Amino acid sequence: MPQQFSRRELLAGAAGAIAATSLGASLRADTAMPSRKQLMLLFMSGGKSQFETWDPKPGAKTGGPFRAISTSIPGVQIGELLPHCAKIMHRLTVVRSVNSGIADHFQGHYALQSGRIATGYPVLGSAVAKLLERPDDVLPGYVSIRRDGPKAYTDVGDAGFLGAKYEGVRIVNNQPPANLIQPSAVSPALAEAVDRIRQSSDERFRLGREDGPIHGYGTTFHQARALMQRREIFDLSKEAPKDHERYGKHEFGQHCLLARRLLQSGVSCVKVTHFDWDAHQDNFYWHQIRCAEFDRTLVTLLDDLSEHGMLEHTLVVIVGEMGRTPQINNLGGRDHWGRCWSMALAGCGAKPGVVYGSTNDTGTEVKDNPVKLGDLFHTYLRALGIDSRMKYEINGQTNPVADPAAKPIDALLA
Amino acid sequence: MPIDPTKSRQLAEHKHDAPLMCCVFDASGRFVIAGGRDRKVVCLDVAAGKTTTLDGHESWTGSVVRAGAELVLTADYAGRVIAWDCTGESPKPRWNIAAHANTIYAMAASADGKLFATGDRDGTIRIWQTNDGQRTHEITGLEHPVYGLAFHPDGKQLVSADRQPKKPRLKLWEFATGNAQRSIDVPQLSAYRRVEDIEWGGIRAITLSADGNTLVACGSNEYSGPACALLFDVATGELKRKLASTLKGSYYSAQFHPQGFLLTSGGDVGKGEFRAWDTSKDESLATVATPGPCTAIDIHPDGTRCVVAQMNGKGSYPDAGTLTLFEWSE
Repeated sequence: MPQQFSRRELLAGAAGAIAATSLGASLRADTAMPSRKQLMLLFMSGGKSQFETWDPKPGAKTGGPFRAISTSIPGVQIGELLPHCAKIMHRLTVVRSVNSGIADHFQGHYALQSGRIATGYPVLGSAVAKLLERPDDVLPGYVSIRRDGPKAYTDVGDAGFLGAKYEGVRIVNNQPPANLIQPSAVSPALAEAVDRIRQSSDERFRLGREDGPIHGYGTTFHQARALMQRREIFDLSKEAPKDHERYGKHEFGQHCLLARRLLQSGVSCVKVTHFDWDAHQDNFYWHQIRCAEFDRTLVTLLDDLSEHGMLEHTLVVIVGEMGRTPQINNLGGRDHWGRCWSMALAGCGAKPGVVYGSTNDTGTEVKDNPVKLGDLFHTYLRALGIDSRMKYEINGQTNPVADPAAKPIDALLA
Repeated sequence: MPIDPTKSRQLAEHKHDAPLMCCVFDASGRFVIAGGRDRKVVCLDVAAGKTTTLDGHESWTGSVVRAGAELVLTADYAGRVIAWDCTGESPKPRWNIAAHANTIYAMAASADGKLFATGDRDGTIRIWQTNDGQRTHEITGLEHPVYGLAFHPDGKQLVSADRQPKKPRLKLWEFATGNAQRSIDVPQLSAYRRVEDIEWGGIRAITLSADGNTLVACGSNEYSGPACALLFDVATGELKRKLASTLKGSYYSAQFHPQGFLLTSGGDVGKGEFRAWDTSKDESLATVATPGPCTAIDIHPDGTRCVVAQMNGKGSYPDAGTLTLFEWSE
C-alpha cells in the first residue's frame, strides 16, 4: 500500500527534511492536556498459554507442572507464575472463554486486532486513533512499540481502508524515529521554504483528485514536524530511575514505560508487543521467563497509570493471537490453539474483578459464555465510550467499525 | 560377568499413565524409581514386576539420582527434593526439602553418595549433604538454566551444563570455593532460531567417564538434528568426537557402562532409541529402537541390565510412559 510506505518512510527517516516551524501553540503540554480516552494494547506475540496464566488446570493431564494460586477474588485461582497479578485480580477483567478458532500466527495477529477474519479492516490501534481523534491532534494517534527482529507476522494489518494517516508509527527497540533533529546544514528558513513548496505542490496535485491519500500525505508531514518538536516524548532518560527499576530493565518493561510516557503525551493508542510466547519447545521454561517479566511489569504499569490518574481513561487490553494446546508435545512444548483460551482487560470502561466464561476440566473446550474475536472488538470500543455500531464513511463508502454479526459483552463493561 | 553390548533383549515393559522423563535403579537394583509429567513417582519392583506410585511431589518430577547405598533422590519442577530410603520393603521418604524456589532441571550425586547437587532454572547450583539434606555450598552467576550436572570422581569438582542461547556451556567448578576451573562453549548443541528468537537446544544431559577424563554432552546437533553426544577431554576442553544418531531429535541421557562403552538414549517424534558406543569410534556398536522417545537410561548395578524411560502417545503428543528393562548376554 503506497500510503503506508510513504508514511512510514517519512516518520522513520525523512522527518529531518521538514521544517521545524513553531507548532507550540497547537501541541498540548502534558499538564494542560485534558483527559481523553486512550488505549494500551499489550500484545503477547506468539500466543501465551492460558494454562500457565489465567486458566490453570493443576493436576489435569493437560495442566502442566505448575500450581494454581489464590487471588484477591475469593475462590478464583490463576497460575502460580503470576503472583503479582493474583494480588490485583480484583482490578482485572479476565475472559477465559475466547474461541477465535484461529491457530495461525499471521491470521491471528490480524484478526485479534481487527475483530474480523476478512482482511483490509483497520486494526484496533488504527481504529481507535481514528475514532478518538480530535481536531487539534498533531501527534500520531497510534504508536506501536516492539523490538527489532524478523517477526513477519507481527506487522500484518494496520490502518486498512482508513489510510496512511492512521497507520501505526513503529518504535523499534525504544529508539525514536530517525532524524528528529533538524540537520544543521538546513536552516529553518530553507526548511520552511521547502515545506511551502511541498504544500503548494500538494494543492495543485489535489485538484480533481480524490483527497484521501493527499491528505494523509500532508498529515504525515504535519505529524513528523510535531514529533520533531516533541521528540522528548521518546526520551526515557527523563523518567525517574526508580521507574526504570520498577517497570523492569528488560525490554518489555522498558517498552511499557515508554508506552506510558507516550500516552501521557497525548497519543491515543500505544501497542507494546511482548515476544517469545510461541513455546513449541520447553513451554514451561519459557513461560517462567516471560510470565516473570509480564507479571511484574503489568502490575507496575497499572499502578503507575493509576498514580498518574490515567487508568480511569485508559483501557489496557492484554491479548495475543491465540492460546496454546492443552496437549503437551514430546519437546515439552504447547502448540497453537484457537478454540479455548484467555485474555484480560483493565482500566477504562472494563468491569473490574470479573472472570468471564469457563472451560472444561482439561481446558480443551469452552464450557460457558464463548467469546468470539468480534465480540472482543466491540467490547474494547464500548469500553472506550465508542458506539461500536457506528460506521466509517470513507470516500463515499460506509463500513461498520465492528463486525455487525458480533456484539459487545456487557458483563465485561463497567 | 562381562556382557556383549550388541546382544540385548527386552525383559519387561511397564506402562504408566503419564510420560516419563527420568529413571534410576536403587543401589541394590531391586527398585527402579522414575518420574515424569505428573506428581506421582513411579516405583518398579524389578523382581516382582509390579509398579506402585509414591506421593510427595506437587509438580512434575524431572530428575532422579541414586545416592549412596540407601537413597534415591527425586526432584521436581517446584524445586522440591525428596530422599527415598530404599532399604525396606518399599521406598519410604527419609527427608523432604524445598531446595529451590523454581524448577530443578538437573541433579547429580557424588561417587561416594555423600553429596548431591541440584541446578535450577535461574542458573543456581546447590550442593547438599545426602544424609540429611543440609546445604553445604552454592554456586551462582550462570544466569541460564542448568540442564546437566555431574560430579568428578576426584570428589572436588563438579561439571555443569547450561542452555545459554547460541553457546550452551560446560563449566568445571571447584565447588568448595565456587571457582570455575574451565568453561567450554558448545555451540554445536545450540538450536537458536532467530525467527522465534528462542533457543530450542541446549545441553540436555552430561555424564563423566569413571576415570573423570571424558565428558559427554547430549543434545541435538543444531536445529535440524541429528541427536548427538559430544565427547570432550576434561583436561584440555578439546572436543574429541561427535557421536551422531540417525534420529533427527535429541539425546536426553548418557551413561558409561562399567566395561567402558557408552550408552546414549534419545528420540524424535513418536520414536526413540538407545545405542551402545565404543567411544573411540564414530559408528555405534548396537542400536535398540523403541516406540517412544527414550528420555532416560540407567544401568543396573550388576551391569547386566538397563532400564529406559519413554514417552508414548499419538504423534507428537505423548500422554503415557513406559519403563522397559533390557538384559545383555555374554
